[in-house]
Amino acid sequence: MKKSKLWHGLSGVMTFVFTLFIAVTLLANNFAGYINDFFGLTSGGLALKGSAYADKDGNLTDEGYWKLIKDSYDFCVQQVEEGSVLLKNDGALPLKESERKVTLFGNNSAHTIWRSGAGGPTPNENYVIHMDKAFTDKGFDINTTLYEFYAKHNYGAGVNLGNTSNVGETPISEYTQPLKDTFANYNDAAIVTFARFGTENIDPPKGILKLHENERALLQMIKDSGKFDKIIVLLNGPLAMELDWLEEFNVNACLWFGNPGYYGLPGVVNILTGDANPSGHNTFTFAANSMGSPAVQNFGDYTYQGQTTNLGNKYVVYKEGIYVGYKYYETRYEDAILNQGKAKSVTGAIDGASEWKYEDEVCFPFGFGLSYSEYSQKLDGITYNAKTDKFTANVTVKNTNNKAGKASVQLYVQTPYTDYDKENGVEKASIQLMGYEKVDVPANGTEKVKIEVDRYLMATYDSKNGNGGYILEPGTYYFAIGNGAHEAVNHVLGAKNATGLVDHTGKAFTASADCVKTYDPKLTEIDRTTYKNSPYENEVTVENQFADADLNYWVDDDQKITYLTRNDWEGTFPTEVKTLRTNDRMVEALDMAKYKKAADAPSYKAGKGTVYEVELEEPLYFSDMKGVPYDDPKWDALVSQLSLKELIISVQDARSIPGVAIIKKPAQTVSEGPEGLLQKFNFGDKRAATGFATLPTVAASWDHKLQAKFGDMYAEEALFCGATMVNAPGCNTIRTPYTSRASEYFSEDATLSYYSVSDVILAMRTKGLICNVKHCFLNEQETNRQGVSTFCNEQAIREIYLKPFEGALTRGKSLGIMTAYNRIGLQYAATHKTLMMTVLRGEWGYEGTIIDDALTYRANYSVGPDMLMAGTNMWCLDGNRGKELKDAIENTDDGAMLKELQEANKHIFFSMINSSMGGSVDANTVVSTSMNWWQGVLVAIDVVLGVAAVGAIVLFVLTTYKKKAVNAADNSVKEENGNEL
Amino acid sequence: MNFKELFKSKGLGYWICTGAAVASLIMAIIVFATNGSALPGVHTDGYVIGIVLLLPIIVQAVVTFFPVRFSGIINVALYGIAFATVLLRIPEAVADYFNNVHYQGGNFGMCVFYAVAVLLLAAAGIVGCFFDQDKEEKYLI
Repeated sequence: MKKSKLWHGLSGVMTFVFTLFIAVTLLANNFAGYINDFFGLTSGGLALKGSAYADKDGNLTDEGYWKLIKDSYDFCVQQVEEGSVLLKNDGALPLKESERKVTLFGNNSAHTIWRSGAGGPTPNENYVIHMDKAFTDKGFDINTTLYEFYAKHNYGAGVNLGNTSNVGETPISEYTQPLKDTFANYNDAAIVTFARFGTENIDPPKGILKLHENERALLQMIKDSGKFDKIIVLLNGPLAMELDWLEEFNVNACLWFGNPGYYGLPGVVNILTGDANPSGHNTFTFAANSMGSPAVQNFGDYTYQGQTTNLGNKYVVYKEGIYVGYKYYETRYEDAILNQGKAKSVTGAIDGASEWKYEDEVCFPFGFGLSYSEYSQKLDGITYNAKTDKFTANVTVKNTNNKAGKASVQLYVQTPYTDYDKENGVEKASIQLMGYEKVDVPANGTEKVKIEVDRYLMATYDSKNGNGGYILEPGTYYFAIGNGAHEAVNHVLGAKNATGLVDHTGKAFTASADCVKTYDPKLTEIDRTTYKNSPYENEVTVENQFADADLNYWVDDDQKITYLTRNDWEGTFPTEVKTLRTNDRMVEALDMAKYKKAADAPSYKAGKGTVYEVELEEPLYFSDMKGVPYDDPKWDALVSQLSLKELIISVQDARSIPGVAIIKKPAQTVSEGPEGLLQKFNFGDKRAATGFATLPTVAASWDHKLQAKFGDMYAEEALFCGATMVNAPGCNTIRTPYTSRASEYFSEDATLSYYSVSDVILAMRTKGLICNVKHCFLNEQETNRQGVSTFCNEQAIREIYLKPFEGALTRGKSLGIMTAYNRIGLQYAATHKTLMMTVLRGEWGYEGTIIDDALTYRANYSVGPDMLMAGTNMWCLDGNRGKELKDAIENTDDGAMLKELQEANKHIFFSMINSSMGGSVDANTVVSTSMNWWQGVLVAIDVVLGVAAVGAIVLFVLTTYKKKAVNAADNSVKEENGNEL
Repeated sequence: MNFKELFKSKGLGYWICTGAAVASLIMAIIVFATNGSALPGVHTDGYVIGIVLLLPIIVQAVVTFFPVRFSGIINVALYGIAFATVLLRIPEAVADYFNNVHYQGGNFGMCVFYAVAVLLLAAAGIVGCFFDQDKEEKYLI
């Protein structure tokens, strides 16, 4: 090949490779946060303060790290011990010392579902404790032949790979005779693990919570073999399986252990051996028919008829109103017992029933849980303090056997269901959780427990009268305690002299007057004034804000719906809203790209009415803002120094937020993970952060201290990982047993979620972690989550779906909140100005950051200017929003948008200065703008390739044109000589 | 103008580059038609890929009449830019696919198609660089 041709070709190659590497460099810098994670680098390198594991000077060290890791892993075990729920035990548990030869059945015994598939902590494989190790470490001799068979043949691969529709149980035909022959030697107990998997972006298919045919066949084989002394079932995962088969297969004991995290399984074994005394209680109802609740009648994929917009063609309707989870089952039970509201009607009853019976519908109630101890509880009294507006319940707990344990004391209330309520569609559950405490009770010992609760939590939201608001009604209020909501309502019914009471198994229940007390607020009429104004912002009136979330606000008359009312169970039990037609109003409202610059908006370019890039006489720095209240003008002064280019830096989260040099605000790392950080430690062996047990287990401990300890451990790990902000935890409601992200949420109950999430977040906040609590709100299904119109009435919104977020921001003092993907009614949550400005900032007095869920620009839906102007401050996993906003401000000369961007920065910096970051900066903090080493390497490669490409082109030019010149010279010689040389 | 003579003198490099340029034109049309749904929602400027992919056919049209020695490099540079433009617009869809989520919109299969197709065009352009554009080496420059 001629040299010139060769260099031409090589020039082409080098040009392409050079271009390619330029792209790679740009790409890498766009995703710098992820690469820094991979290499264990902390963006900005700020040394965080505030750890209890720090040295005497407050610095984080390897020594502190090792102590933390030990405590974290110990805590994982404690979480499972105290958060697992013993649902059934006929005396089979705890296992005797002599019962250590066991067979672990079920594919998921070897393939535990540690957590969901959502972004979160990754396993440190060398330390993950699988079930075989958990048992053998405790002295068990397990049937390794069968365990290894399961480990090798993973029929549940789909489960581990994120497939929610695969139960993954081994077909019975795979159990060969040699395999079956091994059972005889490990027959002290058959320990069977069944799992169900939930994750984000997809819901499990309806019906999957029934016992699968392979599971049924497995249980039958175990039963028929007659070889096992005991059959113990372990339930893995956050979804409530239908458990109406326990008796059929002679199951002696059943333990729900949720998602245990990577290191928590020893906690399960400790419960089986009795080294730990189970004390967890259900955070959701285990229904006999998972398809039987009113909520599940409208759950899944529904498409509008008629014209729609981008991400606007799906809907779901919460026709059940407030009757979610136990509030349905227990309320209908009371009405059935009292023979009112047509509660016994077959409508909504389990298939084949002649009438609705509680014991046919519910396997294990909300709040229920067994222990190896036996407790008797007495509600000694309940007092109301008008000054603090709080109730104090005094409870005596007696442990009547010789096993020390932790007792959960649950306080419930029944508020009066009045004629006014019946006439005006105000709904009242027959029982609702008010508060809880957990107490250590020694063997045969007695403990006194005090539970203090806000009276506000039992107020009812009445949206029908005037502009709406919280009310208290005249009548008798019943406070009750019990092992779950069902016992509590039974005690209330006993106080009403009702007869025919049954427990969840159908056995007659004897109510105790010791477990119930009454309270009379001595009202002569409905009290609409006590809670007229916000308990957090006394100047702000609480009134209807979500009328447009109600389907009836939008649809034509022929499509209006009726919400479920306890006044008529038969007539209002939800039917599926299968068809829904849009009208012109709806189509108009579905479009989220509506923002237009106001005619009188100030000018950005001319600086008229806008103040930015100001040079203060004495520059203000980020560290100067410590302790400065949000309403102090210093915040305006701080952000006034920033140019438009600087104002867009902090609104973009791309796993990290760069520093803002002009105000010396360091860069920071943003992480995620509901039960642990998706992050590596910066100390010691730099392993991945701990994957703790997931949030239903946290809630199932029913222990404020343990819930707070989870928040504390999580936040400690964040400090050692260098993370100051995290997109977690979640506190949506487990509306149906099919809520796929249940592992990221706490409970089906608003009050349990309210307390759990606020316990966790307050502990995190105390350690300086900004928690973007998510996903606010009405995001209870994954199907069509991006854009689904979610319709719900205001009473359910106020009492159920917003309440956990209210707890997170007020009681928990969260510095962050994340909006949801879905629409509230027709309005995208991240453009819902009423939610963000009127409720969060107005009623609840929230001053921290509001971040959207990770949804990049979508035409007519996720549109930057509309989101910013509605109150969104920050964009999750989206490094392009800043440019979108900057272009919009510059191109339309919109000073109003600039001002809103400055407001967003104020909220963001306010959160940051009150976080561990604020506790770690001072006037001497240097904001590094230098590159990380890998960025330097990429630039060096670019330079080398650029030089090589230019070199190849130069050599091509030289070889080609030199040759051409030589040829030309030769030709001229030829012409001169008249012949060839 | 004698087109028969004009094309008769074209070298293998020219024909490879022209073939790639025609394919690039077709690809540009596909990109214009599909980029809105194929690329993740964050990238609203997918048409830029199409614009870059239109340029090789223009280059080939020009060099048909005014041959230059280094036209192959120009084409490769254009394919390189097109590939880089694709590469910068698809990672969100790739991440969504492997995380089994749908945060960012777009169609993973189409994104892979864009990347592979443009890579093949670039490969063809590079191969073309190793061959003569004009058999008689009659170049304008």
